[in-house]
Amino acid sequence: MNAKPPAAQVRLENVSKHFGSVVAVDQVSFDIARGNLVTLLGPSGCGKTTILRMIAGLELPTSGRIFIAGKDVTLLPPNERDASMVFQSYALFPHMTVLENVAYGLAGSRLDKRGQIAKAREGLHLVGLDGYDDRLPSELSGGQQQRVACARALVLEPQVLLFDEPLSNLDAKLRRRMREEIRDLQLNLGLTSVYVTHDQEEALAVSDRIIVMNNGHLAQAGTPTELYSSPKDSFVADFIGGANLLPCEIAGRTVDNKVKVRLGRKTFALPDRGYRNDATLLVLRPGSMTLSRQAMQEPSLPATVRKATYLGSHWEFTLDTEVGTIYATQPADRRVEPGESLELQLKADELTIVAPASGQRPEGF
Amino acid sequence: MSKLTRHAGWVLLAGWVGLAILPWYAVEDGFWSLIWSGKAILQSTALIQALIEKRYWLWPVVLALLIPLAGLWRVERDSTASIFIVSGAVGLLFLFMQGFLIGLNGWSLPELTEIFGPVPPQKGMGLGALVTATSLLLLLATGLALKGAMRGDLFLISAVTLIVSSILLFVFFPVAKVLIAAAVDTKGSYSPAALVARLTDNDLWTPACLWRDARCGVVWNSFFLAVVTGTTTTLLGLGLALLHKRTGFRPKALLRGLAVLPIITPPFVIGLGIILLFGRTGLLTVAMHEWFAIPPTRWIYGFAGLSIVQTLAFTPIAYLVLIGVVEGISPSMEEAARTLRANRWRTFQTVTWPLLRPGVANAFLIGFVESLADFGNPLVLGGNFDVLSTDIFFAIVGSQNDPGKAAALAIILLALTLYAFAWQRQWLGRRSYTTVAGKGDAGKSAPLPLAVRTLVYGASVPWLAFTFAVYAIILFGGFVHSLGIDNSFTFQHYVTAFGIELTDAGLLWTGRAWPSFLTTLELAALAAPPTAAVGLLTAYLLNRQRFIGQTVFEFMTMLSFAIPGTVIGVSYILAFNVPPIELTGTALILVICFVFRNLPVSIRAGLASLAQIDRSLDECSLLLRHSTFATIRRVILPLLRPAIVASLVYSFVRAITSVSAVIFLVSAKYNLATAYIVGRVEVSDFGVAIAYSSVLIVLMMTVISLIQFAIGEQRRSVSVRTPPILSREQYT
Repeated sequence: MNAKPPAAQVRLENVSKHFGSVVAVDQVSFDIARGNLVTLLGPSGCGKTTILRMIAGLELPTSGRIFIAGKDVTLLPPNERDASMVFQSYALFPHMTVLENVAYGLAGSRLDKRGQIAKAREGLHLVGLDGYDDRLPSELSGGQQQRVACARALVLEPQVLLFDEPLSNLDAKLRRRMREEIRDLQLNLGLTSVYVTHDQEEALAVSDRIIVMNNGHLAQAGTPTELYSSPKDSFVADFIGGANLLPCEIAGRTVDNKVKVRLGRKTFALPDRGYRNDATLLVLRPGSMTLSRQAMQEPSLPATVRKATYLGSHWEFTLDTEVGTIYATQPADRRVEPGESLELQLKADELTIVAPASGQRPEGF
Repeated sequence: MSKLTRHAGWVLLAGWVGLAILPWYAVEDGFWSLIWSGKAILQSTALIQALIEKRYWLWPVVLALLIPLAGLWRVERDSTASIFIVSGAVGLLFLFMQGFLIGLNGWSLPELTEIFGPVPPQKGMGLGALVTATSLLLLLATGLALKGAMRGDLFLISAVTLIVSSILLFVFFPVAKVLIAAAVDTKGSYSPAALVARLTDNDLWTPACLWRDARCGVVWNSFFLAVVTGTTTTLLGLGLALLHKRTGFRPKALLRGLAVLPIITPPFVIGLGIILLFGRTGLLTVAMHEWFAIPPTRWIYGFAGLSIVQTLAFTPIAYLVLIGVVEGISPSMEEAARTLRANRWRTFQTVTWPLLRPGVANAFLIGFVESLADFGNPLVLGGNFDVLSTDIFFAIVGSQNDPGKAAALAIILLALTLYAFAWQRQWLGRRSYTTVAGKGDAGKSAPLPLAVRTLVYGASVPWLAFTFAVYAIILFGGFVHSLGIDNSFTFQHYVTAFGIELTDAGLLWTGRAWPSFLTTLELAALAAPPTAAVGLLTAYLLNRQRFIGQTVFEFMTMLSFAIPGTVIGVSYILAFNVPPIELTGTALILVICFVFRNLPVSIRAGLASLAQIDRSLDECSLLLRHSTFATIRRVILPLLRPAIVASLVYSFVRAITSVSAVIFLVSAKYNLATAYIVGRVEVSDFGVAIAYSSVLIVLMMTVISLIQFAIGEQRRSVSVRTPPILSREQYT
C-alpha cells in the first residue's frame, strides 16, 4: 500500500505461482511501459499463460505483487481490475448476439443503455464488423469471431489489454492478417497490451518487446532485434529463430575487443560478450552460412551432405561436420547432392556465442 | 460503510426479525393461526421468552445478534470480521445446544437437572429460530468474506455456507442419529455394548442356508441378491448395449424407450407385474395349471422372484451405463486391430472386451447398490425372504417397534453401499480407458463375432419381450375385474381410484386415490425448484470454483449420493421426531426428504452441463466487470437452461416414483401415491394398485416426452451442446 506508484503501466514484482508442488511461475519481475505491446513467449508449460491470468486476476499469485497503472491489484478480483482479455477460445457468449456480446462489459459503466449500444457499435466499426449486430457468434467465421472478441475487450478502454494466444485457432493465412490488424489497432489506440504466444514469428512481428519464458523463469526480455542478435543463453537463441548450437572454446581475446573462438580445428574472432572459457556454445543460424565447393574465406568448416530436402523457395540440408551435425538453409538455386563434400562458409558478423541455458541440455537442431 | 458491512446490516436486521417479531417455537396449527392475535405473537418471540419468561438460555443467541451491531460502526476491517465470525459461530452453537439440551421434558440429560435445577419444557424450533439461525450463518459468511476467504466473494461464501449447513442438517445429522440410536439399549441409556450386540447379532449374519435347510442371515440374503442382480443386469445391459450399437438390430426406438422406464416406474410396479403373471392366481400360473396341470405354488415370493424382478427393474440402468462405454470405444482402435491381422474374434477378445471391462465392473457395482437399496420390490414380493431394506421398515413400523434394531440394520446397509460406492469411484478413477484415446474419430466399428452376436440376440430379444409383457400387464390389467380369475373388462378400478361425480354441489372427487395423488403432485412440484436450485448451485461450486475445504465439500455431497432411501427414511424418523427440529407428520418433512434425496440427480445434471460450457466464458464475464453473481445470472444460467429443466423434471418425477424414504414419513394427512399403492398391494387389492400405477406411469411418460420435445426444440435454436434429458450421467 505504501509502495511508490511505479511509472510502468503493468508491473510484476517477484511474482510466483505454485500449483501444489509444481512451480509454474518462479520469481518473475518485469515492467511494461504505457502504450507498448509486450509478448510473453515460450514453449507450452513455461508459465506464460499463468502470468497473463495473474495479471487478469483469474489466478492469485502465491507470492509477489502485481500493479496496474500504479495500483496494487494483487488481491483484487478480476471484475474490479481495469484489464480486459481476448481469450484463446474467444469466449463469445453463445446465447447473445454480436452486439450484446460487445456491450456486455459496458453494463456497469456510467453510460446509459443507448450510450452503451453506440459504444459497442463503435467497437464493431473499429474491427470492421459494421452491420453484424444481430448475428449470433455461431453464425460468424473464425476470423469474425476473433474480431468480436477484440471489439468486446477494446470498448472497455482498459488500462491493459491481454491477449491469450488469440490467433491459435485460425489458419496460417488468416493468422498473418489478423496479427497485423491487431498490431495496427493497438498502435492506433495506443493500448498497453500483453500478448501470449508460443509462435516466435508472431512474437517478432507484433511486439515492441518480448519476454521469453522458460520453465517458469524469465529467460530474457528485450526488443525483437536484441533477442535475435544477442540471445542471453542457448534456450533463447534456439527458441527465437532457431539455431545450431555448437560447443566451442574461447581461445583468448584480440586487441580490438574481440574474442577468439575455437570451433573444432578452426579459430575465428567474434564480438566479445564477456563469456569465459567454460562451456560456451556458438550460435549458428541456419541461414548464416553458404555452401561452396572450396573454401573462399574464414571462418569455414569442411562438411559432408547427409540429407538434402527441396522446399520450393529454398533447400534444407543436414550436414555432417567435425563439430557435429549442422542444419542449414540455402537459396533454391544452389543444388547439392547428398554425399558431396563441401566447404561451409560461416557469416562471421551473424555469429554469436552464448552460455548454455541452466538446467537444459543444448539441443539445437 | 462498505458493501460488505451494509450487507451485514441487512443480515442482522433479518436476525432481529427472527428474534423479536416471529414466533420462536413451532406453532401447532401453523404460523398463520397466530396472525390474528398480536399478543400471542409477541409472547412467542425469543426476545420476550428470554427476558420475561425467564428462558435465560436464549440470552446467548440474543447477545450474538447484539454484539455484531457494534461491528457495523467499526472502521477496522479485520476486527469487524472477527466480531462477525465469532458472533455467528457462537450464536449458532448456543442456538443448537439449548435446543438439544432442553426438550419436551426439560433437561434432556438428568445430570444437568442436578447442576442447574429444573427448567420448563420447550417445543421444537419454529420460524423465528429458522430465520435467526440463517441470519447467524450469513453473518458468519460475511465475516469470512471480510477476512478475504474465497477472495472476499460474499455470494460464493454464503452459498457454500448455506449448502454445507443444510447438508449437515438434513443428511449428516440424521445419519448420525442413526448411529446413536443403534447404541441405545433397552433401558434407554447409551452403551457401546448394545451397538456391538446389535451389529453382530447372529440372526443377521448366519450363513446357515449354504449347507443346511435353514434361513440365512438378512445381511447374506441382501448380499446374495445384490450379487445375482448385479451380475444379471450387467450381462443383459451389456447385451442390450451391444445390440443397440454393434448389430443391425432395427427397432432402436424400442431400446430408447427402455432407457426411460426406470425413471418413470415406481420401484414396486415390476414386482406387481410379476405377481400378476406368476403369482398363485397369476395369468401364466393359471394357464400352466389348466394346460399342463402344474400346480400353482408361491415360488415367486422369495429369492427367485426378487432376482427376476430386480433384473427387470435395473437392466435398463446397466444398459444406460454400458451404452456410454460401448460408444466410448473408438472404432479406429478396432480398425487398427483388424489391419494388424486380427480376426473378428481376436479383435473382440484383445481390444473390445478389455476396453469394455472397467465399464462392465462399474455397471455391476451400480446394479449391486440398486439391488441393496431397493425397497419396493422386496416389500411386495419378498415373502419370507428378508432383506435389509424391508427389515429396517418392519423394525420401525411393525409390531416390533425397535428403532435400535432398525438403526443397526441401517448402519449395515449404509456400510455395504458406501463400500461398493467407494470401490466404484476408485475403480473408475484408475481404469477408465475411454478417455485415453482422446478425440473421437470416424470409422466403422468391427462387427461382433458370430458367437457373441448369437448370444446377444438370444439373451436380449426375449428379455425385451418379457419387459414389455410386464408393462403391458400393468397397463391393461387395470381394466379387468381380477386378472387370472375373472378376465372380463371393467372400469371399476379406475372409478374406485379416480372417480369424479357431478352432483348438485359441484364436482365431487369421489375416487379414493385423489387425496394422495394430489398431495403427491403438489409436494413433488414444491420440491422440484429447490432441488434444482441447490443442486445446480452445488454443481457450479464443485465445477467452477476452487476454495479451501473443497475436497471436504465434494466428499460431503458425494457421500449423500450413496445413502439408500430406506436409511434416509429411518434417519429422518429418528432425527426429526422430537424437538429441537420436530417435523414428522408435516408436509415439510416430505418436501425436505424429496429435496435431499434428489439433490444428487440435480448435481449430476448440473455437472454434466457445466462440463460442456467453456470455463473461459465465466472468466471472460468476470473480466468484463461482472461479479460472480451477475456472471451466473447472465451467462451460466441461460446456458444451463436445459439442465435446469432436466433437474426440475427429474426431481419432480423421482419424487413421485420414490417410495423407500417417504414411506416412513407419510401420515394420514399427507399420504403419497406410492405409499398408498403399497398399502393396496399389501391387502391384495391389486386392481386399484395397478390402475393407480398405470396412471402414474402414463402421467410421467407424458411429462417427460413433453419436456424432451421442448428441449429438443430449444436445442435447435441455441447452438449450445446440451446433455440429453435422459442422460446416463444420472447413474455414473
